[in-house]
Amino acid sequence: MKFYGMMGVFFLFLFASCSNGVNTGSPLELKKIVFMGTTGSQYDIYIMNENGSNLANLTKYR
Amino acid sequence: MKMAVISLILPNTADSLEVYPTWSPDGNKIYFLRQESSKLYLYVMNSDGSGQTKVTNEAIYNFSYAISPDGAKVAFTGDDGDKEIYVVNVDGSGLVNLTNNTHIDTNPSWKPNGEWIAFLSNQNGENYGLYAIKYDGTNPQRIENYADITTSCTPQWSPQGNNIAFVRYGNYFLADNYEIFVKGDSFLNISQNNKDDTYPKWSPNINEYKIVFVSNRDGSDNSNIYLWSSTNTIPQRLTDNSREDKQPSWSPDGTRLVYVCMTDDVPTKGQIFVMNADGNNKTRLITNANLACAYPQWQP
Repeated sequence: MKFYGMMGVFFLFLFASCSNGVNTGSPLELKKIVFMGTTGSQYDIYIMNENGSNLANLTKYR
Repeated sequence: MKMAVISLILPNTADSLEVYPTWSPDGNKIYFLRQESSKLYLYVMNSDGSGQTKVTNEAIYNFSYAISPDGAKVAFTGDDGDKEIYVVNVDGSGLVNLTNNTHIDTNPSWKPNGEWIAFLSNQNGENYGLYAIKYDGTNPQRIENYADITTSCTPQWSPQGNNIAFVRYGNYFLADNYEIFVKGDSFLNISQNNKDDTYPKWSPNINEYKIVFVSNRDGSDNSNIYLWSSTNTIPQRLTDNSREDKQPSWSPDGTRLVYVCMTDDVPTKGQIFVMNADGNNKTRLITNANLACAYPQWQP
């Protein structure tokens, strides 16, 4: 009986955390790094996350 | 061996280009220069590339512009007849010529409190000296007697606002032997060698006085990245690469650096790395033989 009571408290805590939008396990928000780059004769402005992911050319399709 | 301080030269073609991005102080906007009809103009955009807007119709000289610490204004060098320091609101309104003389005034840099703008000028009839003026154009004054300061590096205020770093030619006529000086509570030459020390950048951590810079002081033909601090005035070498390491930029908390490295597998095109501020934990972020990268800037 005591076991089920503790499980109930655990699930109540889990539910409260999720319903309040509390994020207990995700990494901190990544900052971005902007730079100028070229693949030929023209420089463009590029951006990526600080871990190198999501590289994008911001000015290619202007 | 002379080290290139500014290696970018605008191509004389009809191609457009976008260069020298800078974050707004709140990290939400990106400013950059766009070439139009062989002139450079200041633009701003959102961090996803949307909303690209020209800030001012005045062309920019020497790639030099600086966003005010509160993000409300831009100081820049106008590409007019004799190059003046202008200030304009980021929405393009309220353009003011601060210097308005017959000499060249360039490379503006905001003091962290937003009250003063340091800049370089040849208005004393000699090679460039260090000056300052209030943001409203009052109280112009020379703040350092040394001349021969290079316009390849913009003066850098420390985050505390009580020191300013600048780069001077040790030998002006040979355009050689760049030395980094700090003027403020005391006057320091942190170089004191016959090599080239350039590109000083203060740590954004207001609790410390640290400058990262680029140098060939180790005797090689290639530049490396060094760290000077007020508590360890013998610069510490952070990179040990057989090719160039350059253009360091601090993370907003002052614990890491992003920089450009010429690697053995891509020897002619800069690739982007990050490392801890003590030189440890170097990590390559860009591995692309087709992409040459330059002037990385960490989001505030």
